[in-house]
Amino acid sequence: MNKYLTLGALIISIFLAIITRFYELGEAPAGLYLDEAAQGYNAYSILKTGKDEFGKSFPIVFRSFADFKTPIYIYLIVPLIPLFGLTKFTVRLPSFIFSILTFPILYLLIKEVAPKRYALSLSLLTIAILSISPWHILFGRTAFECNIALFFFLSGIYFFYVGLKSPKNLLFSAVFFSIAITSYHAQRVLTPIMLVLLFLRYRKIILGQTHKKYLIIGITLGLLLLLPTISIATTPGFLARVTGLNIFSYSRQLPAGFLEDYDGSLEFLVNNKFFLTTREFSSLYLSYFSPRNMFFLGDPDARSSFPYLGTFFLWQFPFYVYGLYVLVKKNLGELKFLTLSLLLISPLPAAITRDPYSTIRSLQMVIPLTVIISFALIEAYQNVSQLFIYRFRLLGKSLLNLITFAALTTILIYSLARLYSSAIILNEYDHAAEWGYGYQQVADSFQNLDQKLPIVVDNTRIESYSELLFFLKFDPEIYQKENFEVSASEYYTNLERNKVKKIGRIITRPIDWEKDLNVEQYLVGDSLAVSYEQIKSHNLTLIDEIKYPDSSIAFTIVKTNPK
Amino acid sequence: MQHLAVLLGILFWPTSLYFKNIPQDFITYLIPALLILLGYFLYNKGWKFYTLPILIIPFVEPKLSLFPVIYILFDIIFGKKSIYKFTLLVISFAVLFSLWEALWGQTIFIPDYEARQKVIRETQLYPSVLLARTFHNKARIITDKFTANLFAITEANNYFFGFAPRQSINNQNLPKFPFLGIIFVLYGVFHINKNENKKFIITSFLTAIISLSILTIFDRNDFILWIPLSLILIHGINLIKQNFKFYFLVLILFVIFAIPEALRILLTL
Repeated sequence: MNKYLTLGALIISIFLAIITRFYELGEAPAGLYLDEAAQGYNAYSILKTGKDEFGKSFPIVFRSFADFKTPIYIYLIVPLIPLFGLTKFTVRLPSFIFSILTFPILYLLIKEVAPKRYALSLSLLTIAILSISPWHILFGRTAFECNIALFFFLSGIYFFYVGLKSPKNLLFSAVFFSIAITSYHAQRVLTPIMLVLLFLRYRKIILGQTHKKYLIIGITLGLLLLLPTISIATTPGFLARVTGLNIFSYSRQLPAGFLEDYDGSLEFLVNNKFFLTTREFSSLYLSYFSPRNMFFLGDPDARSSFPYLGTFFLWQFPFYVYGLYVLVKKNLGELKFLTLSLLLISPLPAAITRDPYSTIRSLQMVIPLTVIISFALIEAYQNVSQLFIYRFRLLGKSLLNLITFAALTTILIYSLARLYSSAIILNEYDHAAEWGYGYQQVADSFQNLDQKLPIVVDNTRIESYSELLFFLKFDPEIYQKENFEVSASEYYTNLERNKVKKIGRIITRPIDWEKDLNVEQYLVGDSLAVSYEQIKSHNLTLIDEIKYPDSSIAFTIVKTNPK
Repeated sequence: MQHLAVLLGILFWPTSLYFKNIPQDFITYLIPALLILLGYFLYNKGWKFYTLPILIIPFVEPKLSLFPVIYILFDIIFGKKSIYKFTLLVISFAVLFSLWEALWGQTIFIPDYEARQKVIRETQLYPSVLLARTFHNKARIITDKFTANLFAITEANNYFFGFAPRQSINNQNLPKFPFLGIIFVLYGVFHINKNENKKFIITSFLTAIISLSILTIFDRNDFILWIPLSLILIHGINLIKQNFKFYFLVLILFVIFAIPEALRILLTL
């Protein structure tokens, strides 16, 4: 292919990727999820005080809601705040940037591993398909760590392959893999497995004379970068996510299918935990290959999917099936090894957690699946060419190319319109509550209230404090002084939580009607916390109602009238 | 061991269906499957009238009136064309029209008031009528239901896990095959070309999924898939036995894991 044509195709794909991810970035989704707010405020706190919301200096993982968030994303937000302010746009910007950076890396990686006859077409088509991928777009528009981890993970793989020829690159590979592990929880499982696979496949080369030195330096460098993480690896905080979510831990939930009513003599067989867990893991693992989930339902979590849109477009379904078949059948060398390895290991971190088809934890799977679909498209084109040009002699090559171009353009326009419909129009309407819509309006309305009166914000169902801190841009120094959860020495070890938070005159805690009615103050809650019946029966004054885009009530602000 | 594995593999679905339903209903679901099985035996013997039992299915279960039509259509399209097959097609159409009323009320084509209201509500959100009408219209209500059914029926989790443990849908979510049976089924599907009865298996499978996808509720009627899926499972077991030295280990694992599952079917009556 002409090099200008290649460059043009590359630029168009990246341009498409930028458009689909940057359009209304920060505005759609209109709300801000509490994890995004927590990431943003902790970055703000680090910028202003050098400490997180709990007063811990430059944490290795961020305590937040005792879920101990990975640090890279938060530290990436820090330098952006002086430039763009503490806004939704700023919080989501790193995700966008790394989402776009993934494209050149993926292009180079596919070109590196694909057989020569496919290298250029497959690498170009893969990034074109990825540019309109609903799965990759969703996480490129919102503040999720998985997206930046994917970039570092792919970079690690790419530099590993380059390092096989030019061993110095193994150092870059080690650095990128280390950052990937630090970037997202799922990578703590995925990256080591990938490294083992690569090592086993290329042990002869990397243990050879030319590579050995760089391998040792690379491992040392990688371990040095991981040292802070390793230093807290055995703390309850570091392990909080994995112990809380994994299907092998029965402390919070029994294995799926456990028959609680049965206590007969065959219980050791019927309720055998090894059997039940193996079965559950298998079903969860399989769910990541399910066309039903991929092309129709999408992720059951409303924040991880767009309405009426799967993780892939429906038109891609036949290419998925065909691509999978061809990939297994054909001898495609390194491309086959890498695609199948990524495909098979990517769902592992997600499949050991309880949620079925969690696209956030399995984001890396978007890569092999996109390669498979792209490969099937190329193969289909070649087969059609064979059939119509050479066998039936029905079409000339230029006419077939024209038809293919017209078909692809139509599909592209349809896909973009579908994306716009789901991600921009319907998502705002259907998933507003899940995206924390309304907190910005609540924070804005506080300015119009009597500044002398205290405000109680109900947090029975959702942790509202991080959203309020974020939208009020509350001074982190004051917040750190007024709130205490654990001492700095117990930051990673004590999982106790203090759910009552003080933000100046605002307190977030569950409303206590008996006591709160006796104090003149404002009460803020969702429609369950503060209903019309309660307003009437408690003689409250309705101050403001914040509504979702579908006109249902998000939050109600009332004032008490103690006698 | 191979026979035990086959037996365990194919008995799960009828057993769980029997225990979860009253006998009269069970028989209604069982007979269409047995008619397909009879068709298979006749096909296997090379008897050209093997489609005749399939023609009887609508009289047992009118919801499956489309099954013979599609089956014979596939047979004509992908097989040898003959006057006999066209005659059968005419008969199957006649049966379909005679049972039309009973079938129509059970299909996704009946008007859905709630879905239409949703379409109207959602079209109002769009800045452009064209865009709104492209993605929200009456035809889409039907195609969405069809797609939802099609994907649910072809979902591997449906057959081996009663859907994923925490992803069940509004049906009985029966255990249909021991979960390790998926190894044999996937292997069987991948090498379906090696099966001498592949035409019957593929045709009956595709016919079943299309006939079921047009139903409002396909639950339990999907038992007609028991025969093609069991045949694929058996094919997979046979191939693994032929091709792998460690087949015995796989079969033992399959049986060991199938035992608690079988007990659970019997204990959760």
